[in-house]
Amino acid sequence: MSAAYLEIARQHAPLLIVAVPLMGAVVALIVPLARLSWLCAVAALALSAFLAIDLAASTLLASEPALVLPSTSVIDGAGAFGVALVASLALLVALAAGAQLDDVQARAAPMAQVLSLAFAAAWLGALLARDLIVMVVAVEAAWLAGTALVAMSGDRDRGALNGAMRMLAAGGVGAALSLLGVGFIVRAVGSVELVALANANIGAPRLASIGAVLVVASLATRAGLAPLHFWVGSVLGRAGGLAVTFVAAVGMVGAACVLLRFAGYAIAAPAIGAKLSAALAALGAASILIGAVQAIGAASFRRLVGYALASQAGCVLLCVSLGSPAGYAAALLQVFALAAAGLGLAVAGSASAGGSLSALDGLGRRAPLASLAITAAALSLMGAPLTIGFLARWRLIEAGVGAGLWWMAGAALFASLAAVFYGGRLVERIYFKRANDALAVSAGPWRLLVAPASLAAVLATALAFAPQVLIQASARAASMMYGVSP
Amino acid sequence: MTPGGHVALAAAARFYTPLVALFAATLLLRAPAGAGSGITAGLAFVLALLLHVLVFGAAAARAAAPPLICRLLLALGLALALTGTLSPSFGIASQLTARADNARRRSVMLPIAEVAALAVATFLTLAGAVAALSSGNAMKRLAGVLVALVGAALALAALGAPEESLTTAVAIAFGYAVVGVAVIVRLQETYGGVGAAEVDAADAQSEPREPEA
Repeated sequence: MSAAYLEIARQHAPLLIVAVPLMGAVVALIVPLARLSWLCAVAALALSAFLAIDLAASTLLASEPALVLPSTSVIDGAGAFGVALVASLALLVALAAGAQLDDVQARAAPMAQVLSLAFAAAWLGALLARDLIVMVVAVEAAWLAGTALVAMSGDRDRGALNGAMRMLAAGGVGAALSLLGVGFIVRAVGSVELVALANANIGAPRLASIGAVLVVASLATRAGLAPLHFWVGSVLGRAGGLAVTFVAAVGMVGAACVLLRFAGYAIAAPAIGAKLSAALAALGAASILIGAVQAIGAASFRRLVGYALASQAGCVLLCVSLGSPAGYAAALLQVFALAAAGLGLAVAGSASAGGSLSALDGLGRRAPLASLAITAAALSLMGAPLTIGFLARWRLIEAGVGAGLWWMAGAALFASLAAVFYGGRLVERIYFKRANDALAVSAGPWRLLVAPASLAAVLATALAFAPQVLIQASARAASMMYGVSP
Repeated sequence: MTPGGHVALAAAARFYTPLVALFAATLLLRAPAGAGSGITAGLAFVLALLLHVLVFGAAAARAAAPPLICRLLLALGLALALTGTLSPSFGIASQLTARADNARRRSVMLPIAEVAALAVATFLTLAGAVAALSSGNAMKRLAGVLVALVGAALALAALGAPEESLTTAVAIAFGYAVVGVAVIVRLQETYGGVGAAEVDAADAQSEPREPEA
């Protein structure tokens, strides 16, 4: 009986992956208790993550599944890879959020859970969207939910409101640019379908190129890519722990996945692929450089996390700008490494009191698992051997040199060298500095809820020891996007 | 509180009015006739007036929309509704939609007019974006966002994008207006103002200091 239900759920996976968190949001909204609404959120995201991972496994590791696709969805390699990643991140972050429920007032806590669920569901919807309009709507819904989540944490620190205002301005401008871009693309291509963008005989390539660049710029703003990341510092620096972990670990990675998916379709179109490649490469290189310099100079741990992720996301753009299946597979590995690092730094970092760098002093003795997760993330950002970051960086260099673009190898090495400085600073503070008594870690039992996310971050970083499944999934996803045999 | 006394609320109401009017006009002109879109559009239009009454008071609303003009508009609306009911082919929505469709199919619209409309829309989008990113006042930033979104919606219309994309653009603008006003009201309450410089200065003062090791 249960097997039959599971089969039905499998067949309707694309719909359920988005609908289940939204149904969870409805239940969380009517539940008056903060802890109960949190349980609803975790249960809904657990089911969504299960379905997303099952969908990715059946799409990328086995034969294509027979799915009942809703009229708004399409399954492609990047989408299947992305939903599994984002849904898993959302589950782990929601679980860890149980330790941070005090960030918002008790009466507002259920609303925070509702916004978190809407935030996750919208990013998942954007990754499954069939056409550009649904994609834009989903991205804007996610952004508005994220902005409201950040603004809610203004009860404890009013600086979060300033961050929310910056998010709003960045998102509004991004929304206008993406709508303008969609208009250009629709006019040039004659369809709103993403698949049509890759396959159509584009009559006005210049118009389509401008449209694609505008959409990429909008998505890059959400992914926190430099120099479009002016909201990152004030949001990650001043918002509450719950909002920071969702925005950094789910939102920025989700946006990077949506960007990767859109770029995969657009770059495959011969008429606009070359121009978009150049734009992506320029933006990626700028993000690596600016993000790395800002991360080295950051005085706050949370801001350092935001800038470091911007630098790493630049590597994702460099990979996808190659316009080859090898480059695209490398980009997916980079996104996975980015997600592992984001989870380790943002979620495990919340175990330390406040968001300052000095809060990390002596953390190795106070919170060993969280310290291990931060250390693993820092090593992965450096591209140290035996970490997933090394594998992703190696694939980028391999694909770049294979395409004759040696400067990409240089950019990847620069990102790693810069990470040695800012990542090394984190490791030094955790293990080689004396703890400050004024910044003790909270000792409540709920703090243990951060452990699964920390453990997952360590395991994901250590996946470089047995990367076959990940490499197979990324290669299959890339071949699906480019329409070639793996 | 005196009518219109709350600065943030009064400024927000001024932004909402054209948005509500745009939404109502979109509903009236783009939605298929006979689906109840006309009455919805009329109600949406009235919402703009109601908002004015709530924020600025009845006297200010009477000055902005004199009763005589309101009565005339009401009569015109009723007449159009009657015409549409008696003969759907005379309904303004179906006529205008059909005209727009024909224009698209036959390329009746001169390319130069299309280019001009697109240029205006793009200018609005970019001007709004610049205001949203560089203005020294949160209210003006939100205004910039809304101008940019209205510009984008006009660009979509000029480019002949599908109907649902226009509705999407309006809905997104409404979403940003709602969340934006909520954030601005909270800024006003907690900082005592909505100027970017004073908010940034207050934040810099309250930035947590790194304790001595």
